[in-house]
Amino acid sequence: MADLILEIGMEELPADYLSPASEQLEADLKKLLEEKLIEFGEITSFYTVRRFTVIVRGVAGSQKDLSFEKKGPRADIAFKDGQFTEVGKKFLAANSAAEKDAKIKEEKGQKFFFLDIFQKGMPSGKVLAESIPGIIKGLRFPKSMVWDDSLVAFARPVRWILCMMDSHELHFNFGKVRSGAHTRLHKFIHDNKSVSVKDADDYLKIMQKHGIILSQRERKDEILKKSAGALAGGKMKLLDDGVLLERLANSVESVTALSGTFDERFLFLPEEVIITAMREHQRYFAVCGRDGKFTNCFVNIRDGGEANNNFISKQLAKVLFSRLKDAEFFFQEDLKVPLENNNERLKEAIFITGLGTMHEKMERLRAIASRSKEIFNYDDTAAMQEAAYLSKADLMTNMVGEKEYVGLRGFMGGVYLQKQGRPEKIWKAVSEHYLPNMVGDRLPSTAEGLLLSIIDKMDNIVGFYIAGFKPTGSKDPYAVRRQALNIIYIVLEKQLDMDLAFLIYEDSLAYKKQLGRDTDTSEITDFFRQRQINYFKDKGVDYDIINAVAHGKAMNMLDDLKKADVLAQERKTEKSFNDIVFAMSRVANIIPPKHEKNAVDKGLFDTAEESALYSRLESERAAFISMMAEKKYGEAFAVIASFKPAIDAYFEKVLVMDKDPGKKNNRLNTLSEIREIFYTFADFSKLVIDRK
Amino acid sequence: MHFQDLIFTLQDYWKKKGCIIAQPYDMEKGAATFSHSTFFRSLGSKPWNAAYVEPCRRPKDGRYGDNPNRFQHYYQFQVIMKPSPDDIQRLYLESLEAIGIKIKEHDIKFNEDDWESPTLGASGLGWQVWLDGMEITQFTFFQQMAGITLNPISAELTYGLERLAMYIQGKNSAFDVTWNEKTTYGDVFLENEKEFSAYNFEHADTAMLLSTLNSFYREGERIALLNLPIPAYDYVLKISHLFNLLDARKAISISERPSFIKKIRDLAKLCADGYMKVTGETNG
Repeated sequence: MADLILEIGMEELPADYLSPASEQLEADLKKLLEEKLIEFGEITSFYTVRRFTVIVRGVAGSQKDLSFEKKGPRADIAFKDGQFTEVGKKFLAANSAAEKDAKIKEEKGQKFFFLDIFQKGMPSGKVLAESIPGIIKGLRFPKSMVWDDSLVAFARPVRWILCMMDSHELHFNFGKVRSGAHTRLHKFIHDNKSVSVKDADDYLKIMQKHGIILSQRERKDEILKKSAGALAGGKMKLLDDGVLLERLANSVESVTALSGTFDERFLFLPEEVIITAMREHQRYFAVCGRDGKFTNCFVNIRDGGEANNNFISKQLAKVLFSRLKDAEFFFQEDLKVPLENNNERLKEAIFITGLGTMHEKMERLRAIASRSKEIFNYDDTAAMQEAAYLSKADLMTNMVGEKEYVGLRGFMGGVYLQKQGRPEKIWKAVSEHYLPNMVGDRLPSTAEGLLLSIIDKMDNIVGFYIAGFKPTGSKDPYAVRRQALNIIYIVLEKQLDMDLAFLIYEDSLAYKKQLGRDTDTSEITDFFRQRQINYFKDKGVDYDIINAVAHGKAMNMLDDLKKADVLAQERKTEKSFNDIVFAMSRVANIIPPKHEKNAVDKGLFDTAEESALYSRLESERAAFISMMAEKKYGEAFAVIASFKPAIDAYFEKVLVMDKDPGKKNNRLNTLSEIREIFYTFADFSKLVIDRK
Repeated sequence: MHFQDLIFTLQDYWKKKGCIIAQPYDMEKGAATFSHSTFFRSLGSKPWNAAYVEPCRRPKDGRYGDNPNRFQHYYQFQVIMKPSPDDIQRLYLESLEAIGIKIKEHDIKFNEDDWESPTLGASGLGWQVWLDGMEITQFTFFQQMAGITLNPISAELTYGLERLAMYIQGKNSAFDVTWNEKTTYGDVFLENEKEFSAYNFEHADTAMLLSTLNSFYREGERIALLNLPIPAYDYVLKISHLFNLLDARKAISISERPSFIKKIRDLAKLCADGYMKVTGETNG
């Protein structure tokens, strides 16, 4: 048993490429060992910005030997007239076997030639050296490049490869790089020095001794620890920023933390602006006091080295100073004019290619907002219209117009509107209408913000469909799926009682009126249904219940969820749940798809069960409809359940498919009425009956 | 280290690494990549190692000399090496040492960068190099030029000279950077910045610029089709600059921008294809 180590040494990779590629490398190597029948033990992988490392413990010295029976041609084909035919000889030759080795066995009544094959396993080192280059080539990155005329591609140039089984070097080529027993030390601290490695354990020791932290988790811990140390006195702490922490840990091999300060005068700027300047531009951590109060300190992470830290801190502060000075300028300039004055310039900003300007988009949002009563059952349409009217104006401000601050869109609009004296209802809605950025993210905190967020996202989605940018397969460049999920997330988290299909229809209409273009909205509702199904699945709703409730033209997901809850609860607690479902399915299934429904003629009833079932329907109908309207789904289900005995009795006595077409159609008409009314609750035929 | 000594030192360093010290091309351009020494020479298979100072113009970036760090005219120091040497990163770091930046005493970061020039149809991958929190160099392995996939690959290093000089001299404004013992960068360029900013933002005759742009485009196309890609490329530079001027004057709407950029890119592509043809070059 040996320890295998593979290290791919490279020039600095983009931070977000590292973790997925490292996982793939480990998985692919594992798969290779399994496929090649090489036994192995524990497998661990590491990465830094300059290296991918995998160590596999307990690797067998050679592949497993194989002995098996190999099936050959049919005996009567391979052997004729007392000797082997061409076919038979070929089979023997291909397996380097002699005539005497062949034996005949019967399989499914036919005779075949068989050979006992023994394959000696190859040395693992040889097998791995042949296969590992393919694994390296197979690593996938969002973007790859070539750097020399070998034309091999990787995210950034590969400069060395270490590959060993215990102390034995495994040699192969990847492009122009020849693998061997050398790694490289830290790029700055140790001048990228090449050193030889004895084996995997020696490698780990070398890395540790030279302060190169291979584990991402340890690098993160080290960043936090050293940052705390840099903020001496313990009165201050880093502002939590998991994304930046991840990113910085992905950018260094060793950790030095430096703190610094910026001019307090900038503290009048919104914290978000300062934080953006620090994290997006400079990758500095923001710092707050133990009391949570924002401070004028920052922490920067340097890739190792302690020399000259005071000087560096001053330089870092200097760079930040000019950033903040720019931000200050933008902020003050923006405040000189009312935010809404920027709306005119939205006419210069393209929304989606072929779909007009941001000004036109804003007008559509306003049009939808004016129908808030009908669509969302929200009364203050004037407020919604005002919020929609002002929602995009900040895109044309100095601040948000700068690429680096574009992430503050919405938020900056809110700040400017607040400072310019707009009501809270309005500025908050504008401020938060891009939320959530992902499922699980913070939601807008006001009713107006929630609705504006939905209006904005749905306008995007419908627009992308019209422009032909709908998501296909893994391609979704405009994040249409994420936006749809966010809408569903808002609707269900905030229990919004609304029909999304109606909103889609209104949006499509708005596009049509304005640009003369629209799209097949059923494609979008189907798309939403699919997202809804996934969403419900993630919430643990049984798939058949999802299918039973998520149907129909209207798309009120809150209702669907409530109905699903009732069905799930009944399935758990109601003993005769399966029987109720069975009865309902029976009703649904017996009606031929081509049946044309007409009014029921009670005069044609000739059994008591027929009359009983129908009079039950007549007596319960009004109550059921009002329960559904009032969304009392528990009670509505009880009504449905109460039909079971009557339905059972009906099928017991009544022959629906009567020879007399008049009677038959009348019975189908009766059942159709029952099916239709209960269909408003669920499509019971979609429910799977568990008949244990 | 004075501004001119910074340039001399870099030239001396890269001269020793086998680069010819080229001189700037005598026309307006937005970046050193537009120079013949990079645009044409990154094409084809012939090795090419060059270093040069290139004056660049970005009319929109002018600030009337008020901003210590933003100008409509500035210098890039460009190194282009084809094929890219295996130790190009080390060569670069040593060039910093040569101008007095001890790499062990600073915070140097290679931050990912996907470089793209839509007007040249060029792209590459590499880094922005940060020195103590400030971007000082763009480091790119070209993958495409004028839409042509390159092989061999060139490495391009673009140093921002004013920033480096400010840093080395500890100045807060580029205009305070010393050019030599007696003369500052401001002595040389402050008045230029004021006048050009006024011209670029306020006085440039947009109707004239627009019609000139269209004439130049036609001329460029005509020349390119005569198998004279190098003179034709002059018109790429001319219309690219005119476009930038019009842009500074806000005379180009957002919806029109892509079609202008495409015009420039198409002409650049004609030149690059023509260059490959007349020099009998192939890529890949």
